[in-house]
Amino acid sequence: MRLIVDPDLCEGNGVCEKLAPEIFRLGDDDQARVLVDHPPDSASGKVEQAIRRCPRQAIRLVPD
Amino acid sequence: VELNPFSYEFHEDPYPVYRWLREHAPLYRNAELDFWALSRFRDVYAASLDWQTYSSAEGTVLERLDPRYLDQTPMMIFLDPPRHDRLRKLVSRAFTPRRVAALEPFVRATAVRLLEPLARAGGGDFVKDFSTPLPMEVIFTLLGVPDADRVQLREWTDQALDRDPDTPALPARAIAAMMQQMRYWYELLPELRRHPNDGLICALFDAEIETDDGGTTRLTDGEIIGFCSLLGAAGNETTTKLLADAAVLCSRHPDTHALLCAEPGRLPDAIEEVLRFCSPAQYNARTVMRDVEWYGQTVPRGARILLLIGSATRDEREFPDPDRFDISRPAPTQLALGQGVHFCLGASLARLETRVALEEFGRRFPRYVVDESRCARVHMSNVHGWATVPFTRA
Repeated sequence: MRLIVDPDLCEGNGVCEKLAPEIFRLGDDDQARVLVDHPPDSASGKVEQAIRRCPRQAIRLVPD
Repeated sequence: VELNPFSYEFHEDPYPVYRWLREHAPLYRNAELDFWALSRFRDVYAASLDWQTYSSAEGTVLERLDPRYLDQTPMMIFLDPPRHDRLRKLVSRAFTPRRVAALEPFVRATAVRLLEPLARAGGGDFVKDFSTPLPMEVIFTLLGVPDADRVQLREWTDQALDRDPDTPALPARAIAAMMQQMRYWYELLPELRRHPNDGLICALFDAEIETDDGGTTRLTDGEIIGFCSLLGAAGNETTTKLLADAAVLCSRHPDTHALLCAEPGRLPDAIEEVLRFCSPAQYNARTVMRDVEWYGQTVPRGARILLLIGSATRDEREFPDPDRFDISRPAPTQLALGQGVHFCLGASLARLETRVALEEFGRRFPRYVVDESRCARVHMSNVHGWATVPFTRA
């Protein structure tokens, strides 16, 4: 599964970057981007938190 | 136990009712007022995300709004995707955390200007003198509303939301205030087209919105007024309540206030706890688009259902010892600002205004007391909070 941030939904709240800065980065355009689209198993807890806590529900795992 | 969101007694302390609902009727039915309600965190959270099933198109308060009014001045809060998303995209860039952070010096200067007379007098009415005018100046400056009109416009907003005891029927004064406000916006637009300023309303004159066939078109005046009306009301009402809740809670917990004065870096966490402890928006109403099953009962298609945010944020299943105000809690999954497509567009602005306001307030009032015997509540449908909070330096 591949991790994505939906640019149509993201409004740059930055919750994901705070939870997992090694996975998500908030750009100058107020859009979060995925730095590692296949996060290691060791980060799966943080990624799940980011998916759950994104206020706009903009983060998803999609089939490769 | 009855849940009546219009009961003045309920407004004084809704939390025992919520606790009973979570325990005994996690799916609650009020046959008389013809609505259902969900009160547990998990359920409110799940339903908030599912806009396909829980529609906002018939309004997000329990009382019925005139469909003509929803038609003429469409507001994204009362729309579902995709139309909601198209409208939201036009304004969302103006409210991102980064754009909002740039407003900090202006917010601080406004807070200081409002606090100086209170500091000289040794107190005042926190709501009337501070938590009302601050968000008002901020949102109307962002929108580009002329200075001279702001107080009147905000008073109409208050009156439009004011409700009589126990009934969802709109009082005549609320309808009159809505009409006057609409007339004001309809008269302001041509004025602003002739003499544009750098506010958000004027930016919307040139904005283009996607159409169903994939083209683009300009916004209608009704759509622009929908934004004016929505952002004007939302930018005023709830931040006012959040700030006043913080002031009352910090007066009840002087140790917390002292800690926040000494370590203002803890304010962001404290603000999240105030939001959790007393959510200014107590519920969002939705219309169920298909039969849904909750706790062995069927909520039929077309039914109205309240997602009780004010209860969800006190759910003992999610928050240990939920009725204890404790700013050292780990940052919660926040539901007070909604979640998903309708997540509060002004969340960053509200948090910034509240943080800056409390920093400046704490500097001038390191010790103060609120006279709770003279405090009074507002009586609105889904907005909960204080109308009057007299305080003095201690």
